[in-house]
Amino acid sequence: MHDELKHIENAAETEIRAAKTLDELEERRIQFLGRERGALTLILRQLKNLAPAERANVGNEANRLREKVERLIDEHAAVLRSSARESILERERIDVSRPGKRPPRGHLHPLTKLIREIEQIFLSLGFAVAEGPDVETEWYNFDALNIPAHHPARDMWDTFWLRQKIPSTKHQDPNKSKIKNLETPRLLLRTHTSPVQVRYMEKHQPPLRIIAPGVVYRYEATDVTHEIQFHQLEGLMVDRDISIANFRYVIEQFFTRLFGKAMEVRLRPSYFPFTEPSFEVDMRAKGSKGAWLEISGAGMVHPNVFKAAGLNPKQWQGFAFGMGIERLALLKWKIPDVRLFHSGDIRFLKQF
Amino acid sequence: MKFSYAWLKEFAKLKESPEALAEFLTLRAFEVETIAKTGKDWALDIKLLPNRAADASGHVGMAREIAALKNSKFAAPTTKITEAKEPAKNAVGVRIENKTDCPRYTARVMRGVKVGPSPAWLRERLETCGIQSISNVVDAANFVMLELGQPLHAFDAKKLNGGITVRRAKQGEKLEALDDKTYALNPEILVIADDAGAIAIAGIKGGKASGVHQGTTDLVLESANFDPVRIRIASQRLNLKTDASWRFERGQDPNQTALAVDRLAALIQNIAGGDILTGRADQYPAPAKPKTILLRAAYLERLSGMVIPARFIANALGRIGCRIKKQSKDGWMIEAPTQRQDLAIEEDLIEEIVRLWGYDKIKAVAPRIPLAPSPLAEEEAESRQWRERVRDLFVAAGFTENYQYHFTGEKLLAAFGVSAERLLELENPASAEFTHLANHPAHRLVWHAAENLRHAERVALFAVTKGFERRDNPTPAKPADETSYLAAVIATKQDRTPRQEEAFLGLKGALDEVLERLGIADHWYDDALTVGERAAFPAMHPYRAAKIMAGEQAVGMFAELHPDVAERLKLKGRAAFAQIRLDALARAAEEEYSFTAPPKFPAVVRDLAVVVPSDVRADDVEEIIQAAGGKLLADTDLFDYFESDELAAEGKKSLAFHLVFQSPERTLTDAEVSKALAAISAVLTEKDWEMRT
Repeated sequence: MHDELKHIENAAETEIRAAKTLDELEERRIQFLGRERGALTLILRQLKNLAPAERANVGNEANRLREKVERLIDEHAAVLRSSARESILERERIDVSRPGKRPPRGHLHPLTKLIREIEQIFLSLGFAVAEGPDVETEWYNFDALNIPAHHPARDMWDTFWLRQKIPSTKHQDPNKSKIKNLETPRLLLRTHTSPVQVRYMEKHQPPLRIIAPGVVYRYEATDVTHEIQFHQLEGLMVDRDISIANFRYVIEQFFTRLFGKAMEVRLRPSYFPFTEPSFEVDMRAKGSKGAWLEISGAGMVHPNVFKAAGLNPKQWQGFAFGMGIERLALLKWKIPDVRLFHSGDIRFLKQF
Repeated sequence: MKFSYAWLKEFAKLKESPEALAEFLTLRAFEVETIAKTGKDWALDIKLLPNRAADASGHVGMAREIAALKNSKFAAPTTKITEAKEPAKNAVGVRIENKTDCPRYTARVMRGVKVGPSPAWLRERLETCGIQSISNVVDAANFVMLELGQPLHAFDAKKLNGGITVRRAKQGEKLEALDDKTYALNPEILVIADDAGAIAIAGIKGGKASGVHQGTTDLVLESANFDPVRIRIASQRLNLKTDASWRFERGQDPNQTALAVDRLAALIQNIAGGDILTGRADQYPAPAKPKTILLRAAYLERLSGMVIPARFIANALGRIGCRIKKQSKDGWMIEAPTQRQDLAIEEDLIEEIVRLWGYDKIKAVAPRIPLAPSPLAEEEAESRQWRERVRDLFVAAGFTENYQYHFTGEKLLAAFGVSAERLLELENPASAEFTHLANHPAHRLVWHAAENLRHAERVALFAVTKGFERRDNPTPAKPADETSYLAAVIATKQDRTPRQEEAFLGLKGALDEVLERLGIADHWYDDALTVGERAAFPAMHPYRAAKIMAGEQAVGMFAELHPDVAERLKLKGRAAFAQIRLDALARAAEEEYSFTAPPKFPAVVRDLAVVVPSDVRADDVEEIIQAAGGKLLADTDLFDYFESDELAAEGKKSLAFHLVFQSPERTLTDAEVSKALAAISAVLTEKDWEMRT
């Protein structure tokens, strides 16, 4: 019996390892361990014919061998499986340079992206976002901003006038302390976002700080830097003691965060009827020797604007600024032509 | 406005080059737009700020500004005038009808002048400043205007009938002006007249008949001051802008007319000979007095955000010609010179002080403010939030955002077959295509899609934009109806689906996706459109159009583009478009958002196909199934919509649904599901619809 077991052991060691496929291995398993005719099974079946001492001895040996054979089969099965998978995987090779299958991809308009960024920056500085109508009255667009009818400053804004009129309305005349009756007030497309200043201050008491991004319109010839419809960013901060120095801080913070590097600004004298003092704002990277870029008009809110909005200019002061959002976008992305923003051309839009 | 560098140098000490001067002025006063060499001189094109025409639109004033900025010497020109015996007052009478229209009219009279060409130095000065030389007399008037800013005019005294009257023009009055054009005047327009009629449009242009010509010997020299509003109205009504009207519109100092007319007379005498009659004919009913303004040191510091030494302030005020009437440690009571018409309030003075001190010296200081955020217009914040969310969802659904003009015009309106009746119309449109404000932004978006199909196979665009309509009762608070819309379009050049449904179903799928993600689960599409709803969008395909419903509320519409419209737009392919009111969408979304716990017990899914007549809506079939399936039928999902030629011939189509049975309380048994299915099949059989399970 011992010899037989030894013989089976030797055969198992060579024959199991020789199996080339899992099917072949299964045949080997049946050959050695099969319930019916397996070589070891046959031996174990004969155990009952042996003397009890011998029986235990051979039984232990046979069981040990059985475990060994099972182990050999398992080990070899793992080897065979791994090589079989390997070949399947190999057949599944994909040329990684092939183009992937993309989900449909949409794009936000660059101005949406920029306006969101702007809003985010000002929100982080505690500003709220305000809005106003595109179709404005002559009062809010001009008179309330200290630009009365026949004021030459009206030439600074080429205006789209509407045929529609509105019924006569009463407003506080900022130049005189009386109510002014506007007999034939005209409607227009707002030429700037500044009317939002007045509309907001009519409804809210200072302290306040807002930005008002929005669409504005100018009646002028279009070219690479001029559009008849574009976006402006209005800013307004009012409290008891808001100063030019504060403006400089806020605007430098804004540009620095927007352009992602330290920026400095330069203020130059200017004239806007609704601010006094007024200035142009130029900017460039801090420490740069490059040219200054004219970017914004700003100033300290004119007392007449406070009066028009029903606030007492002796109690409140603050700054206001305005800038073209498209101009910021042109700078940010080095876009050569402002008209691209409203072109609707997906070859432009898909780049954002 | 062009200034001569050499001329400025006569009045102010200038050591710097023209370029350096330009840079200096740009930073401290006015932007210098160009510098051009003209002969030995340089012309600086200075963008004079509109509130500084009174004091700085002449070389003397500009030099005074430079000297003030640099705190250097300034020398005003002096005039010596030799007069003949005869008094001017006897030679010309001056009458002003209304002192508001014309605060001052000053005249001098000259005799025996010889009109001829100007000397070279005069021609060169004018040329540098961009003014053409005409004759010595006319050039002299222009020269003094360029010097002092005061517009001047010379009449041929012999052509005048009687004295001079400043009055409104009469209705129907006409005047042939020096530009050879005849202007029809009206009472809005101020004129200079003699006894026979108008001889000049006041402050704008002289008349031809009374003008100086070759044989002129005697002159009436006008140096006047007019109401800026009056001049602006006339200039606009006549569509006539001149160097004079530009200056008068922006205001001039009435106190300078005497000096100006003296300078003019002396210059003419110098280059064209003649006698100057004694004195001036001068009507100045209410002489302008300097304004008194209080400047508080504390306010100056509070507004600028910096401390400027009191000594500097006093000095700076002097440099800009202000007189300090009273001074204390709290501030200054100052008198502003009448030529500085821009100095009217305390803030004006603060600007001057800070400007002279230098804006660059103001350091950035973080504002100290309460932590409380600025009051927020609640609705605005809400609507902005939804707007941005809708944008993100459409981008996620593969759409590209478009920004478009709010304008529309005849061509676009005609292409979409809509009327301009409710639209706001522009008085001065930019072009024939931009005459109105559009009420339905989807139309322009479709147009953009059509344009893009020229170079793309498929376009999916959306826009978050406004539509405008006029109101019957506009108010200052709400001048027009402005509605925020979401517009979307899908356009395909080649639809490969058998029934050309790609654009329509593609858009519908995107809408479902967006509406669901906004939390509007009970949205549906109502194809029962009223006549009015169809009329609002004549561009809709009649059998591929629906209202987008959120519950019982219509939030928008969507449709395939009518092929006729596609043809008019030269859109080669198919397009479907949608337009949704953002406010309605936001309201629906707010109501909806609710949470359902994930199911605890497994679902049983069965498939069911049913053949129904072609005109039966899938939604209706689904509703019938759902009603019959009872509580256990948790969901139905149409997964196959099949219309073969065979079926179509019978007027039928096949719909296949996944039926999802589920209970929140227990795992369902086969028997329960079968019972529910039997109920469904009973209802369908009753309708005579063939079932295939």
